[in-house]
Amino acid sequence: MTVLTIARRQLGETRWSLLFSAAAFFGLALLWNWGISEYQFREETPEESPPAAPSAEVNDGDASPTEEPTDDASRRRRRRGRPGPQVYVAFGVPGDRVLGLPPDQTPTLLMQVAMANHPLVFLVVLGWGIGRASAAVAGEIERGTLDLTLSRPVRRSTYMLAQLLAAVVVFGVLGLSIAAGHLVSDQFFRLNEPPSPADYLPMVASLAALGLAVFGYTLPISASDLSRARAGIIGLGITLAGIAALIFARQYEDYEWTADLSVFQYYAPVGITLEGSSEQYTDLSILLGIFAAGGLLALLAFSRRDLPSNSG
Amino acid sequence: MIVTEGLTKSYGKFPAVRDVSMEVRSGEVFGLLGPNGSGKTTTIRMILGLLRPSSGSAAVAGFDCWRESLQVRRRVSYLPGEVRLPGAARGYQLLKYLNALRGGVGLDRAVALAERVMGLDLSKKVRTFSTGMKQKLALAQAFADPVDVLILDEPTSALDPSARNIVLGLVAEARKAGQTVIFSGHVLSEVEQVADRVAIMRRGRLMHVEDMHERRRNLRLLLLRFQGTPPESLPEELQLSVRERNGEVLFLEHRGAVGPLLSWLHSQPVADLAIGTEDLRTLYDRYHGPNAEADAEDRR
Repeated sequence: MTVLTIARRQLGETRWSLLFSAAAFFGLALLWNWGISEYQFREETPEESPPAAPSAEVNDGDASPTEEPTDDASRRRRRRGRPGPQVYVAFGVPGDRVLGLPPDQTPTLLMQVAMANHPLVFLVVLGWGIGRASAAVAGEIERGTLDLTLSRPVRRSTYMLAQLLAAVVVFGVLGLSIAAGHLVSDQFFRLNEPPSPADYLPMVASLAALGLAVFGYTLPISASDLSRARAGIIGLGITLAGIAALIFARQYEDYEWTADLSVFQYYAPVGITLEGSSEQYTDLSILLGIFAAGGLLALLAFSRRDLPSNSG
Repeated sequence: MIVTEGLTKSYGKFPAVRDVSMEVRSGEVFGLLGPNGSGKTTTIRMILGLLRPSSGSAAVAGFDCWRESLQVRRRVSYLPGEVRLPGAARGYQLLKYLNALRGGVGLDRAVALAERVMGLDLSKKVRTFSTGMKQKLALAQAFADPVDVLILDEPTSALDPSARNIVLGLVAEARKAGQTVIFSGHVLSEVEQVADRVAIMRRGRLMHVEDMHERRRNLRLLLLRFQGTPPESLPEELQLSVRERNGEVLFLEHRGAVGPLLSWLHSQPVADLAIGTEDLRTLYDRYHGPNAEADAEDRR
C-alpha cells in the first residue's frame, strides 16, 4: 500500500506534464493517420496530375529536373515533395512491404507503427526517461521533499519500488496514447484494413521499454547524487553516447560491436510488430533488463547512502 | 529512550559530529542548543537513520538507528529545520499522504490541529502558504503522529510570537502525554521554558548537559566582598566553586543545600553579599559567548 501511496504522489505531481505529453502523442497519431489515409485513398482533384507509381517514387522522390512547373499545384508538389511511402521506409518500415504495392493495399499497421520512430516521439520519451529518473532521488533531495517521505516509517526499497512503478505507468501511458490515437483514427480516416487493438501491443511494449531503459540507467546516478541537473546531464550524456555508438558502428564494420552498447540497438517497434521473432523479443527483454538492473543498482546505492538535509 | 555512544560523523577529514554520547530519558523534553554548524541537525539525522554514523552508535527504544531505522521511524516523528513541502498538493492532501505513510492513523488529529489550532485553510494549495504556514502544517502533522518520540529541529524558526506560544504549549502537552521530545533551537528563552534538560553542542561535540530542574532548584550565584583577603580554599561539602576571583571579591557558584552555606557565610568576614541565579544565556555563553572557554580539542 505504501508503494502505491508514494507512486500516486509521484504521478500526481507530474500529471499535467504527463497528460500534455499523452495528448501530444495522441494528436500526432491522428495527424499520422491522416497522412496514411491521404496516401492510401487519395482523392484526385482536377488540378492535380495522377501520382506517379509507388516504385517510381522511391527512385525519384522529387519531381524530375526536366519537369517544368506548369501551374500552382505542380509548384506546390515540387516544394513539398510528392506524397508517398518513402517517409515510412525512413521510419523503419521495410521497403518491400510498402513499395511496389498499390497505395490502397499498403499495410496500415506497419505504417502506423513507424510513428514510434519519429524524432518527436524519441524526444519526449527520452526526456521523460531522463527527467523522471533524475527527479526520483537527486531532485527530491535538492528540493528538500525527500525528508517528508523518508522520515516516516518507509523503507528505502519501498520508495525506490514506487519510483519504478511510477515510471512503468508513465511509459505505459505514453505508449498507449499513441495506440489510442491510431485506434480512434479509424473513426475519422479511411484506412486499409484497420488493425485490432492487440496489434499495437508490441509497439507499446517496445516504446515503453526504451523509456524504461533510459530511466533505468539514469536512476542509479540520481540515487547516488545530490544534484538533479548533474544526474540529468550524465543521463543525457549516456543517451547521446548510445546514439553516437550506433552511428559509429554503422560507419566502421570493425567496430560493429559498439552498437550493442546502445539501447537504441534493441529498440525496433516496427520489427517487433512486423515479425515478432524471438530475437526481437530478446531485444525487448534486454531493454527491460536494463531497467531492472538500473533499478537494482539504484536501490543498492540508495540504501547505503547518506541523505543530508536540504540546507546542507 | 534515545542513547548515543561515541556517535561520530565525518565528511572526509571534516568531523561534523565527534564522539557524542548522551541519553535522552523517556518522557522528557531534551533541548539541543548550539550555533549553526555545531552538529545538532547531523546528530538528529543520524538518530533518524538518514545519515550513517562514521563510528559509534545511536539507538531509539533499543533499536539501532541505522540498521533498524524503520523501527526507529515507527516510533519517531520528525520536523525538519527547513520545511519544504510539495507546492502542488493541497494542505489536506498532504496531511492525508503523510498519514497514509504511517498507516492512516492520526489524520483527524492532524486536520484538527492544522485547522483549529494553527488556523490553516487546508483546501488551499501548499504553494500559496507562507513559510510560517508551511511550518505550521508540518508541526500539526508532527504533533498528531501517535509516536513515542518527537524530534523538532528549530520548530519555531518561521513562526510569529502567538504561534510560538502554541507550539510551546503543544510541547508541554506532549510531555504530559508521556512523549519524549528533542527540541533543537536557537531561541534560548523557549528552550529554557520547555526543556527538562539541555545539551550544548560546539563544533560537533557535546560540551555540556544541564538538568534544568536541578538548575532552577539548586543553582545560585554569590557575589561576596570580604573584609580583607578572601579564603584561599572553600569547604568541599558546600559545593561551592569559584567562577572569578578579583581582590577582595569572589564570584561563586553554589549547587548545594542552603543551610550549611548560610552557616558558613555567618562565620566569614563578609562585608557585602549578593545572591542571584543564572539564565540559560549565561550557560550558553560559557561555550559560545565572546569569552567562551576553549579546551584542548578547540586548540587542535
